[in-house]
Amino acid sequence: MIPVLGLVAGVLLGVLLKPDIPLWMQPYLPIAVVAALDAVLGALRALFDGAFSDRVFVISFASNVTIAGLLVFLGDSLGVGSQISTGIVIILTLRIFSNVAAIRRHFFKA
Amino acid sequence: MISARRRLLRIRLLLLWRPALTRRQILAAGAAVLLGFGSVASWRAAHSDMALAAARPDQLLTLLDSLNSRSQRLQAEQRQLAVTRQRLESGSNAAAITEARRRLQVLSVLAGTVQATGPGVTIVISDPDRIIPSSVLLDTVQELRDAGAEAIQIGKVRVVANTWFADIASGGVRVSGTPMQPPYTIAAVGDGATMKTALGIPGGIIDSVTAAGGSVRVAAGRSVTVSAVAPAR
Repeated sequence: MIPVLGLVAGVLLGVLLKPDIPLWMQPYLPIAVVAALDAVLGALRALFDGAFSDRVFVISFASNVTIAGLLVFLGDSLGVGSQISTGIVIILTLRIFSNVAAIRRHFFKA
Repeated sequence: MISARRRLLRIRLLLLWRPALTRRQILAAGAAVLLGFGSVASWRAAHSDMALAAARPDQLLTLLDSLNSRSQRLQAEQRQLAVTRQRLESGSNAAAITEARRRLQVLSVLAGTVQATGPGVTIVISDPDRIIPSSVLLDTVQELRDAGAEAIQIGKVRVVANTWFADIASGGVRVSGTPMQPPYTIAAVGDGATMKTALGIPGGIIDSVTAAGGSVRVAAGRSVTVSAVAPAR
């Protein structure tokens, strides 16, 4: 319940504050959001597996976001920014799918 | 066993849902706040006019390229129109009449109310088993139009905007009401080489007719006449 409220609060905060993302951050934010989504779904999966650990969650959330951002930064510096972004999004999307599939199996056994 | 797993799942869901200020709930809430805020922020960034400022150089280059070619096209069109306008304004009526005649000619050919002669292709689709459906003829016409055909006729029927094709149950095709039997002869005025290439692309008309047991002969000519006219409406 509290996490759901948190999500709602975050969305509301974003809508109300109308944050203007600084330019240098704009290529990184969408990737970071996808990485965060992956971490959250992974945590949810671990929770249903009974293997959830808050320490692991915090570390995976932070490292996912940081590594994704660093990789994009590295790619941008090397001139392959859009390719690396695409690669990261593909990998993260794959992981999101497998996490959702694992969660789904808990509920439908299929 | 299964019910035990179910119970475990229910307990976990309940624990997740129950508002409790445990450390993991607060952590999860914090992550959720970040996720929600970040999502909204990047959504706003992607839908603002700042999106261009954050775009990558190669994306900008593609965009610039397409804008450039578009502006070139428009400029060429503008020049042509300016020339036409100048002729119409400065000149005698003769220029206006010539221009009107030219347009009349072009539009008449498109509408199919006059004959057309010029470079083009003659196509013969033979179908000994009489199994080629009308859709193949329609595809052929579309392919020819895409390849720049200005005037097309099938058999003795001029193909215009409202021409229709239907199968005859006993074999053959009805084109705008006129029954036809194979081989079908199609004449098209336009760029012969382009049309010939268009018909021959892999998986195109020639391939599909050949797969159905028929054959296609395409001859590009310097002077092809589309003699059939559509009734003026």
